[in-house]
Amino acid sequence: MLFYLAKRLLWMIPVLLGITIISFGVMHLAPGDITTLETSLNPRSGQEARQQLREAYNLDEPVPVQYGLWLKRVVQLDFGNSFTGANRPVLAKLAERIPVTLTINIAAMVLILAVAIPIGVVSAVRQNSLVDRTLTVTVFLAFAIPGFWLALLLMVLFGVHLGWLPVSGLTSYNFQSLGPLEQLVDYARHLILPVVVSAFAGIAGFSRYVRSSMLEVIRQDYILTARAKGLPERTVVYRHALRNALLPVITLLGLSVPGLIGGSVIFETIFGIPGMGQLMYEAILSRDYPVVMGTLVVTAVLTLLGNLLADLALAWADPRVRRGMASS
Amino acid sequence: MSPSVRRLLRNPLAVAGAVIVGTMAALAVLAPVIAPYDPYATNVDAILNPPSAEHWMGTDRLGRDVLTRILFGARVSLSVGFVAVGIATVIGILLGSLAGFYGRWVDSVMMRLVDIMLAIPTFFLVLAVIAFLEPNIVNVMAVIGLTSWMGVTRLVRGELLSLRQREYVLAARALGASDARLIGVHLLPNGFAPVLVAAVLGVAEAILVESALSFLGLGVQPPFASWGNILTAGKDHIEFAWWLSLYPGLAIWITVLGFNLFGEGLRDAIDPRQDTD
Repeated sequence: MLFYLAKRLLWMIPVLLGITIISFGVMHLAPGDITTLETSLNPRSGQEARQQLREAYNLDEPVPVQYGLWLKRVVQLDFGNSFTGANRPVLAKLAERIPVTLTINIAAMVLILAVAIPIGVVSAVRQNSLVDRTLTVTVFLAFAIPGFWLALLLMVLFGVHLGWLPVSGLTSYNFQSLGPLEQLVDYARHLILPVVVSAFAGIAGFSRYVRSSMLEVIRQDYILTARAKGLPERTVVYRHALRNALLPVITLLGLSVPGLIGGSVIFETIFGIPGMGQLMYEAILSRDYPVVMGTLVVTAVLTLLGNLLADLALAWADPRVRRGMASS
Repeated sequence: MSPSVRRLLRNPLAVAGAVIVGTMAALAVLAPVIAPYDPYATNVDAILNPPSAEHWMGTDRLGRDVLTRILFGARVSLSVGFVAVGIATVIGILLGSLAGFYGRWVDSVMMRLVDIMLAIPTFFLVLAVIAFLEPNIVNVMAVIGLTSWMGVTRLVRGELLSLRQREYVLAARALGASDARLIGVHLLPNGFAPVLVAAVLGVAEAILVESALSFLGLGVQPPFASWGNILTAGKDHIEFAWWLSLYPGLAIWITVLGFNLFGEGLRDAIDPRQDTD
C-alpha cells in the first residue's frame, strides 16, 4: 500500500508540471503582454500595478526563464499579492476560501451518494418496471436542468415566496449574537440551497451509473450461485451485488471532483458565498491576474488530490486492485 | 433498414430526443423568417410587459420581444454546441489515432496530456482563458472545444489499440498501405459509432457551458441574444418579471434534454450488449 502511494505521488509530478505549463500558457494568450491589457482595460490601476506585474512575472526575461522563475515561486506556494483590496498575498486569500468550497462540495458528494445509490439500485433490481421507467425519465429531466437556472428558481421559491431559507451568504447578519448551536443551524440553513443545487446534476448522473453497474453485476454467475443456494433476495442485492457494483462508482467520484469545483463558480456567485469560485469570478472581473493564476493552479492540485483519494479508496475496497499493485 | 436504426426508432425516448433536436435546429435556422420582431429593436412603450397576444413570452427591460430573442439565442447555443464539439472531435480523433496506432512513448505522452487536462477543472480553465481574451462567440467556441477533447481521444485510442494487431490490418499493411491509410480507412471507421455518441452528448455539455458563461457575463455579449445572457437580465427582475427567467431556462433545459436523450438512445442502439433499456 505504501509502495503504491509513493508511486502515485511520483506520478503526480509530471501532471503537476503540465498543469503549471498550461496555466502559464493561458496567461500568455493575451494579445500583446498582460501589462498593456491590464492598463487598457482598467485605467484606474496605473503605473504601480503595471510595475508590480512586470516584477511578479519577470516580463522582461525570455518566456522560458519567466516560466522557470514563476514555477520556482509557485513551488514555494508564493503566488504573489492580489492587485485588489489590501494587496494581500494570494495564498492567504485562497486559504480562507478553500474550506468553504470544500465543505459545500463534500456535503454535495454525500448527498449525491445518499440519493443516487438507492435510485440506481431500485432501477436496476426492477429493470423495465414502471418504477424504473419513471425514475429513468425523471433522471434525464434532472440531468439536463441548467444548474444556475435551478438555483434561481429555488431561490425565488424558497427564499422569496416561501421565505423558508436564506438566499445569500453563509451566515445571517446577527450571527455573532447567536449561541453555538444556533450558529450551527444558521450556517446549515445557508448551505442547504447551494448544496442541493450543486448535487443535483450529480445525483442524476450517478444514479444512471449505479443502475448500469448493478445491471452488469447482477448478470454474473456468482449472483446466480447466491440465489441458487437460497439466499434471500435482499442479501443477494445488498451484500453480494451492490458491493461490487459500487467499485466503479468510487472511480467516478474521483473524476467528478473537477466538475464540482468548477460548478462552484456559478453557485457561489449566485448565492453570494465567499468560496474559491466567487474569488475566481471577482478576480476575473477585476483583472486580478495573480489571483486568477493562483486559483487555477490550486484547484487543479485539489483535483489531483481528490483523484488520489479515490484511487486509494478503491485499493482499500477492492483486493484485486491491491494485488494488481503489488505485482506491478 | 439496419438493425441499429430500427432499435433507435423503437426507443420512444430516443425518438423524442431526435424530434427535439430537429425542431430546435429548424427554429434556429428559420429564426430570421419566423421571429415576430427584430431581436434588437427596442420599444419604450413595451418595457417589461408580461406575456400577451402580441408578445407570447413578454418583453425585456428595453421592450424587446423575448420570444424573438430566444429564437435568435437558439442560433448561438446550437452553433456554439456544434462548432465546439467539432473542434473537440477533430483534436480527439487526431491525438487518439496517434496514441492508439503508435503506442509506446507517443501513447504515454498523449495520455499524460489527457490526465493533465482532466485534472484542471475545465470551467476554471475556460474562465481564465476568457479573462485574458475578449469574451465573444468565437472565443467561447474555441475555448470550449479546446478543453473538451479528452473523452474522444480516449475512445479513439482504445478502439485503435484493440484493433491494430488484427489480421485484416496486418494484411493491409503487408500490401503496402501507408500509416495514414491504415488509420483513416481501416481503423477509424470502427470507432465511428462511439465517437458519434460522444459528440451528440458533447453538444449538450457545450450548450450548458456556453449558457453558464453568458449568464456570468463572460460569454456572448449583449446586444447579441443568448439564452444565458437573457437569464442574466432575468435575474435582476426575477421577483416580478418571471417570464424573463422562465423561458430562456426552459429553452436550455429542453434542448440539452433532447441531445442527451438522442445521444443515450444512439448508444443503446449501437451497443445492444449493454441493454440498459
